[in-house]
Amino acid sequence: MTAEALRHLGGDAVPPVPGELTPGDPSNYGRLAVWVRGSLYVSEYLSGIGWKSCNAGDDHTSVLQVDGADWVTLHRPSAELLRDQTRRVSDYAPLREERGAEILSQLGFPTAYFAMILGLHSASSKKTFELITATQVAAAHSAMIVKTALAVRRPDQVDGRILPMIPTPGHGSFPSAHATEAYAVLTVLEALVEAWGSHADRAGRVAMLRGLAERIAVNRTVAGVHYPIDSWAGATLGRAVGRAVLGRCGRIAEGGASVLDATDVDFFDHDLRDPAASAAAGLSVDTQALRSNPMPAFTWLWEQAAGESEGG
Amino acid sequence: MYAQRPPEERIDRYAGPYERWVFSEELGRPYAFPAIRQPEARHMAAILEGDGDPSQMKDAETRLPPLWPPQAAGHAVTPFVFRNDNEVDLSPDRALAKRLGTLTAPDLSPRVRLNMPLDAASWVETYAPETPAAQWRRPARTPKAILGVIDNGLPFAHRAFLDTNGKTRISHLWLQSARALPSDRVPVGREITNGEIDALRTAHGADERRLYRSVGAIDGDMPEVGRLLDHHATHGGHILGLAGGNGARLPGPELGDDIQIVAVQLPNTVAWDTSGFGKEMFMLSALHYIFARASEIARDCGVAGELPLVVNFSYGWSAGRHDGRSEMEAAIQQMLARRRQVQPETAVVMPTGNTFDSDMHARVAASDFEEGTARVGWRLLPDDRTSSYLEIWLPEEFDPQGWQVRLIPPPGSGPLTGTAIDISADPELDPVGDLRRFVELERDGHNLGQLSVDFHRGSRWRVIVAMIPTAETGTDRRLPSGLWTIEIARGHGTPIGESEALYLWLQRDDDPRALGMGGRQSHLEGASGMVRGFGCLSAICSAPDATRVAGLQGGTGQPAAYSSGGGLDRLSGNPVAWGAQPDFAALSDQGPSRPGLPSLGTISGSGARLVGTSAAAALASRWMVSNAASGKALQDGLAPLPLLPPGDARILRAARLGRGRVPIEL
Repeated sequence: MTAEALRHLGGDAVPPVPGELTPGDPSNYGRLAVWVRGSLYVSEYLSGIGWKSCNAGDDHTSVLQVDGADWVTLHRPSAELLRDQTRRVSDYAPLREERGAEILSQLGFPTAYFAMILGLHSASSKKTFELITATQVAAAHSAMIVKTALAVRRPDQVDGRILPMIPTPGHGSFPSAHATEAYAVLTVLEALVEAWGSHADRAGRVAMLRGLAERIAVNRTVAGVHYPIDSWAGATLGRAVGRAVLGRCGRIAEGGASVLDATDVDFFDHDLRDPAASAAAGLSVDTQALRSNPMPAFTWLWEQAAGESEGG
Repeated sequence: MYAQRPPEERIDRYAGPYERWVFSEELGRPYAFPAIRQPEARHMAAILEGDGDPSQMKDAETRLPPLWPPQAAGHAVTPFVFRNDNEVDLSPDRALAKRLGTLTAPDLSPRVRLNMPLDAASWVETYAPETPAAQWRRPARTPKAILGVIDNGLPFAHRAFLDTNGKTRISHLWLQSARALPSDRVPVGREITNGEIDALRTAHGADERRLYRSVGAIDGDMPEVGRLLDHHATHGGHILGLAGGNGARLPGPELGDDIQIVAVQLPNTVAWDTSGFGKEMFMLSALHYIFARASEIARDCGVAGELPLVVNFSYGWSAGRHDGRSEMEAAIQQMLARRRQVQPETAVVMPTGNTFDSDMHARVAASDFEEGTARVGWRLLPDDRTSSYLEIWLPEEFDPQGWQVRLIPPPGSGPLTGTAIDISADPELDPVGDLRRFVELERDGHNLGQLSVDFHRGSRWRVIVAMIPTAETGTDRRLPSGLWTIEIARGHGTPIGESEALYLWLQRDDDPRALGMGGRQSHLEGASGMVRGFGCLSAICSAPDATRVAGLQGGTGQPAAYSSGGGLDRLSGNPVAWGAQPDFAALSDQGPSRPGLPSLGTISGSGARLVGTSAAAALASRWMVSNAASGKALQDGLAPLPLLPPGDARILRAARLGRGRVPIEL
């Protein structure tokens, strides 16, 4: 009715020839609904992601490939190792009382915790949030691929006394998707904070980001749904995903192929960075640097986020 | 059914009622804390009462912790540890009886008291008590006073304990249950000195949890250390902070670099067991260690004689003699008296306890007996997963020949046997040490409890009723919950005097959540005036020279509702004090709507609140050691208590708050 009431007011002239959008121009990304850009990020990330499983006797491995190269190789943990790790899961249970609220609030993507450290707000940090979300989605997809290939039982399926404080999710235990996502986001944010160059207290903030990634991972062990080795595998995978995202963004993120053949150890961020401790945990990282190919939507997103610098 | 053992396997010949209860599988062992439930203990903590040298024990490797004064003999009570590797293929209580029987030299045998077993990994292979501490460094400023702290979960790397140059003020630290190094100056666990703490802080930077892991202060494989320091806050962190820390969350006065700290971390599950049993070795050796290291600091800093010393010991249990003559109290008194001869400014500061409003104490006077019997109700709550204990103490030197204690169960408990015990020695038992008697409370041949009497330390008769949990625990035994009645019958025996009384105390049975023990506190119910808060002081703070600190509520100036009070009897209508009383009070609540005091969390920068007289004691220790470093008497400047409302009896106020208050506001 509104159209009929108003149309005659527009006159009878021939419509004008429009000023055209530039095909393929990155400025078009800003015109898209966020979900549409989301589709583009997923497409760009997955365009070069491959995976394979290798079985040799009792040794089962899952390999995540990026643009044709083997980036992460995870060996499936033995049943005995899972049994040994349940004791560590039980040891963490007394922390449930003081970490309960935190654990429940981290059931989904714990983006607010990263925002807290970097002072992000949706009014001023829209594209930074978008980059974080795109990274989390890439990490979640990658984790589910590897989890399914390795098919590892959850702690409460091994030891009935674990009694998790939250429902055990409907997918495999190893690697932890929470750890994968947290370490992927950490890797991307470390680069973004560096690119901003605007925080006078950058070192402290990065240290807190690392502490947060560790805590998000460990909280899942406190909750009773992950072994510490799941965090090792997730952190290894997550760092690779983060580097792959940075490559898609056109950034250079140095790092070599990782192989994890986990041992019965607890998980700590420090140990992940310490060559001797990570070797003892069964992690080896190749020295030859790998890099993923840049893609336009991610590159555009990076430039937008890099323009949202905070601090001083 | 409690099986009869051959004489050499009867733990009750060699050890007291609590030992018999917690080590015997048919009795309380299934519900004891994890260290007791270990298959077999070859490394044990123990104490020797009276003069003697435990190293005369045969068949065992015996070690004395650092003692003060350092002589092996001459102590009222000597803490020690021993290892016995002989294979004994018996249940724990029988094995321990056999060990005690063969271990003890004839003169020592009656006086050895078993404590908790030790983790084998905490046993130091080469114990070298005389070796100098390699990494200890002399403090930049010569110390003027020493603060000792005995507690659990000590965050010793916290920045609150740094001096003005960024070096730690914690001179010596003993982690009693940590994984041992091959060689050490302590017999079990690990000693850490200031130089090592500084080096650790440098090496680990802000990552304090990693620091604690690296020295075994967080160790999931050592149950008595565990992951306590992973928690946001610990009792010990809170207390160490209030007593000896500096920082934004902590009150004044700021503690100077001339106050050095010596700290001891007890086994972190020390709060688990609800009997008070098994901890004396750890506590007494902690006290000796602090005294000994205080001497060492004075010597190595060129101080003549001994330095002033204030030891904060915020711990206690509720049932005991309350006359200053328990093993712990006798030992504390002797140590204080000896050190005060060389350094008068010496104190052991303890909280009065948190049981005033918990109905855990009763007084049964001569007038409470009707036709020769008196009754007190004991309410045992459902879903209690730990043992519950009640102690009845008769007047000193009173001969209760003919007296009996009987249990009347709640309705519906079914037919029970073993519900009464004579208060006299069992002639069949042939005990080594105190006279004793035991009766097992049973239903259908299953044990529900243990009644015991013993002539404690040869001077006072005690009755203990130990009960199994009321909760389903996976064993085939469960105590009926509800109101049990304790009937004390004098039969044909002598009545107690008009001014005398029998005293009842329950052991603490609440539930520190971090330990997940599942205890529920039972309480007493009785005729008007029988169940009372006055007289419920902690059972280890009655040594005459100990410093007892009560809790005060900020704003109102009233006693904190839970703060335990000294004993008061009402004779001829007038209150008359008996036994130890609080010395003075300190804040333990900031106000009626702000319970507790703020202090440190585990990690630098974090905070926590703690409610209880433990915090009041720590505040008092802070004030006293600060006084000492300023060259004043320890209690110089004690502030007056708030004015009494008209009509309030001064004696009642003194029994709750002592004679003044610590002048620290929060």
